[in-house]
Amino acid sequence: MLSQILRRLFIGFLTVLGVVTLVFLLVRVMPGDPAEVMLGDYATEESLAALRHQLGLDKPLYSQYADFVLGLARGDLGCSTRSRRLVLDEIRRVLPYTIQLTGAGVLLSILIGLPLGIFGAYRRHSIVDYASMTLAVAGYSAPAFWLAILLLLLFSIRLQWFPILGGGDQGDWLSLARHAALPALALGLRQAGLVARTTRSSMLEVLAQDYMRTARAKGLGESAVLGRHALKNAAIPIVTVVGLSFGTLLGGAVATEIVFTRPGMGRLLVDAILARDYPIIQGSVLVWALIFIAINLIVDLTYTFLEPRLRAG
Amino acid sequence: MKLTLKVLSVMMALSIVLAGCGPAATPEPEPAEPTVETSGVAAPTSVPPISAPARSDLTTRLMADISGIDPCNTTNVNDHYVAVNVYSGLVNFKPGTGDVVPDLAETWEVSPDGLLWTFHLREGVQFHKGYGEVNAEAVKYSIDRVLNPGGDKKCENASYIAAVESVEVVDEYTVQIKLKYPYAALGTSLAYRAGWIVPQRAVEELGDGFGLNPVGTGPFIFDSWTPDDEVVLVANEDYYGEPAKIKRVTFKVIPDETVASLALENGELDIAILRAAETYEQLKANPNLVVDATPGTSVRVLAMNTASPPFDDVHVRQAVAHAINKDEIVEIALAGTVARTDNVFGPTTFGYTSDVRIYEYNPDKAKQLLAEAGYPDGFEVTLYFSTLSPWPDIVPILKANLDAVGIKVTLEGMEHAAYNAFARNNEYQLIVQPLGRPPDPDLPLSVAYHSDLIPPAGNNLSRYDKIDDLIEAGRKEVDPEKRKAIYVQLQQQMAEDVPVVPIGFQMVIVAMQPQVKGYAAGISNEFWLYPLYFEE
Repeated sequence: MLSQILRRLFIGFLTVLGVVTLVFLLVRVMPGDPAEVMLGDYATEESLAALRHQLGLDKPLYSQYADFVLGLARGDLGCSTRSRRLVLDEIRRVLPYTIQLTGAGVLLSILIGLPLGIFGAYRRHSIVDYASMTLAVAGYSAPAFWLAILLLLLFSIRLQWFPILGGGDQGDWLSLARHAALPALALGLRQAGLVARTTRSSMLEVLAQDYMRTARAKGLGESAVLGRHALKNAAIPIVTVVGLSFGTLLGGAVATEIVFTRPGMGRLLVDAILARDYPIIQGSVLVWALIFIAINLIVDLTYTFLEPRLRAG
Repeated sequence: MKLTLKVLSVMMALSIVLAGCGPAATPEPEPAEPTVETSGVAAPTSVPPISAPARSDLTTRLMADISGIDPCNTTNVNDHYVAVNVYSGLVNFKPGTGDVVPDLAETWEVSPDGLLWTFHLREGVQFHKGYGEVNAEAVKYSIDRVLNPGGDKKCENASYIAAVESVEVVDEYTVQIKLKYPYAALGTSLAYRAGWIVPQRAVEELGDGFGLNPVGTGPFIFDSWTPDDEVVLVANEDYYGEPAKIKRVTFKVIPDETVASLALENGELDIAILRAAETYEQLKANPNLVVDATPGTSVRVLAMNTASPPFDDVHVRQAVAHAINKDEIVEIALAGTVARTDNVFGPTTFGYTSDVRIYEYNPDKAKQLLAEAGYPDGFEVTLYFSTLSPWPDIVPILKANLDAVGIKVTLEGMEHAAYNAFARNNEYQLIVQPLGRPPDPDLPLSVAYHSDLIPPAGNNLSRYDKIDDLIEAGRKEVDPEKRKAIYVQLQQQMAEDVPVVPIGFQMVIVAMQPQVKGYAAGISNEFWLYPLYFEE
């Protein structure tokens, strides 16, 4: 078990190194550089050259890369070319907002998707089944930013229940929740569709098994049959989908954070790309990669918890 | 249980990995980042409820986050919106116009040869945050800093005051600016960016962090900045004039135009600058909001490469000018957010004339001119554009208009930074160009139409070289009447040569709640907070 984790961590390390190297190269292939953006539309060649020198962008690529990797080894991600702040501080400031948003989105997707899926499987081909699956497909097909605008129109403009701007104050839970409610719903509704569909098909498969009949035959109540026997055995695909949801929702957070003007990793990254803020782009992609690897690891560990046969292997 | 422990140990291992990038959290003192130590800006400031009955706090919008507010290198509009309220210069613009009026200097005189400008400072003006009084030394320091901040560091805004030879302190409250050549646009240039006055002690204490903790003398004090979230200004109660009636201003960073308009309709924003045609129409139709549109100085043009075929032939360029239906672009595609122009200046720019050759929309004439130039069947060309609004709304019509006369256009859009890099470093025949400059004709002309700045040196994208003499003459002429005559001649010649097809000048569009009064437009991207107040 421990060696398995160590092996995974080593592979994770190689993946991260690959990702940051790729990003390092990609941002430099992108047309336009930080100097172009900082100096605006009327920069002269002369002033551009001076600023590039100041930012170290005139150094050869291998030397920039060496600086970058050596910095990484020391845990130093450098400082933003735009704000002159430490990249790590910038990420630390916005990361909680994205984690809260994604966490709330995943939670909502489970709270909505799981009951719908279970019920759909249990009462297969009923009106409720069709209705919930139609909703699921519709929800999954709707782009997050579009859903976001509709939610804003309904809940913030018509009903005036939720604020439009900002992410709330860290530390003030009510404010955070009010600001996260609509974006989390926009993210969660989408993913709930996928969770519902996966739960339904996985449950259907399990419900057809012989041991379900046995469970009923020995006189167990329906809730125990569904909860203890069916759901637990149907859980692996569901956990996979929920785990992957984190990834999808992190991606969805980019659009959602922009529409809801929330601070967060998605907005940090998009703004950094537009500003060609190389250190911020590199730093956020690194953190992004670490999160993905951590999630995958956690999902795999959850499998072994759910399915004892996997522990051996 | 064993398993839970294992999961925990994995989590811990991961947190160590994460903490592995952590040492920067306690940064070794590094000259590049004094901001981290000195700024008090990291803590998010809670905004008082905006529906409080006695209103002296105002919430408005930035289209993107600020990147630094410093007379040395402020170049983008969002920085500028904030900066004009924090800084003041010897002179300033009168809100709503491009007129240069006294600010830190109460009076000034110009020597007969136009080479020596003497400014008499207002006495007792204090810098924000206890940085002392503004005197002639501070003026000299500020202008010297922009012109030559030492070493290989270069101030982007130095180009505005390139005419300045030296700054001399005459006495505590008198300062003289010596010029290399007479420069009529000096007032405008000093009012715009390069002439904002800063305290030496603050610049030295804050280093590179000065732009994010700016200290000026304006009616508002820079209070805090939360990246990607908000910038807060508070009224300067020691302002030399009446303190501003608005006591606290929160600029929320709202990139999305639709969201900004929803926040206006919802009352979360009191006033906001807008760009997009859709939101403009939507907000104009809302009876609960007031929408103001004032002509700005920024002009949008279609630039043709005059240095190589086919656009080196003036008949071809004239054909393009006749082929384009500007009214359709400005009225239908842009819904009046841009107003039609036949000139490279907007009407708010000094020397503007409408007495230039007009190329009315006439596809037949365009075809005839093309045939005369030897292109009876037209030709193929790629039109490069920035995907920054409003270009994506403009270029489809340009393409349709040009296709209709036989010029087959392929559209090639680029994100704005990529477009800028492309424009300076590549060969092309047809490219769009925005031109936003302060309201003096020399500033747009020098950066976009002088042959010294043909790419890659600068931004003369049409590679036009026929008006260098007029540009230089206009720059040096101090007699306003004679200067105006030069620019009229210049505009007329440009209209004959058509290096670019001017399409329209940008309207400055601001929507506000009806209780917000006192609004005066900033025609070259100023956003004046000082005149604003709430109606009781």
